[in-house]
Amino acid sequence: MRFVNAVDPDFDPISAALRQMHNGVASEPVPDEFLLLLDQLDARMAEKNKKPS
Amino acid sequence: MTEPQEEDGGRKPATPEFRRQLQDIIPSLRAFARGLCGNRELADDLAQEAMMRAWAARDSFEPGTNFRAWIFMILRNHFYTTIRKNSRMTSWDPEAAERILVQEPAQQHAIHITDVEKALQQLPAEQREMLLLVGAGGASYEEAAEIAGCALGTVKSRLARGRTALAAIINGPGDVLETQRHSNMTDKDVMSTAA
Repeated sequence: MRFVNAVDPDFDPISAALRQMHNGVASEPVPDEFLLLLDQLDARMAEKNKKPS
Repeated sequence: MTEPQEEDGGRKPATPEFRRQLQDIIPSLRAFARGLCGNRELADDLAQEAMMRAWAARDSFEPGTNFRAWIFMILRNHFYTTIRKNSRMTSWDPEAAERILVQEPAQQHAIHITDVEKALQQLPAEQREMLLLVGAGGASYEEAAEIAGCALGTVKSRLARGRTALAAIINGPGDVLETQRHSNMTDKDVMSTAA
């Protein structure tokens, strides 16, 4: 399929596709493993803070 | 801004602000990683690794500076290190890339996201990352230069070349002129700033 701008000469399909590609991923729900990772990092820090100096 | 050292010194606890920034950046971090490696599973591994490295190196982040640029730099440096060791990182993931059709409202200018995703993976990595940072993620030239550790002119050059190459892959070489019209650079600019 070719990039043909018959209606709006300023429409750039490459830019639009790149933005939509990015937004498609960014709008996905954050997978649980990421939230779990944050929890683990929190727990690791809390553990370190408990240790006597 | 310098790349953080890979250590978990834990010399001071992460602030709530750092923790919040880390959580808030996850969606765009995943999107950048997905575009870089073209594979959902590997991209999420990359993003999580970047988060762990950022956390371990939190002492080297200066509050008030650009957190996105800092963690994107961590991710892209880790990506380049990884692809040198693992050829799978350059593969395209067809399962994750079927689906969306990009269409201008008048339904006149449609291209498939899948075509763009596949074409991106055929580009040199340094051009691909510029298209992802500036074209997809909306980063400024300055921010992209900071992330990639290169000059502004190099960013513009790679971006222009990447756009031209992307259009040529998708549509064939005949589309180059149309693509350059949408680029901020002319051939002369590209030649004068070539990396």
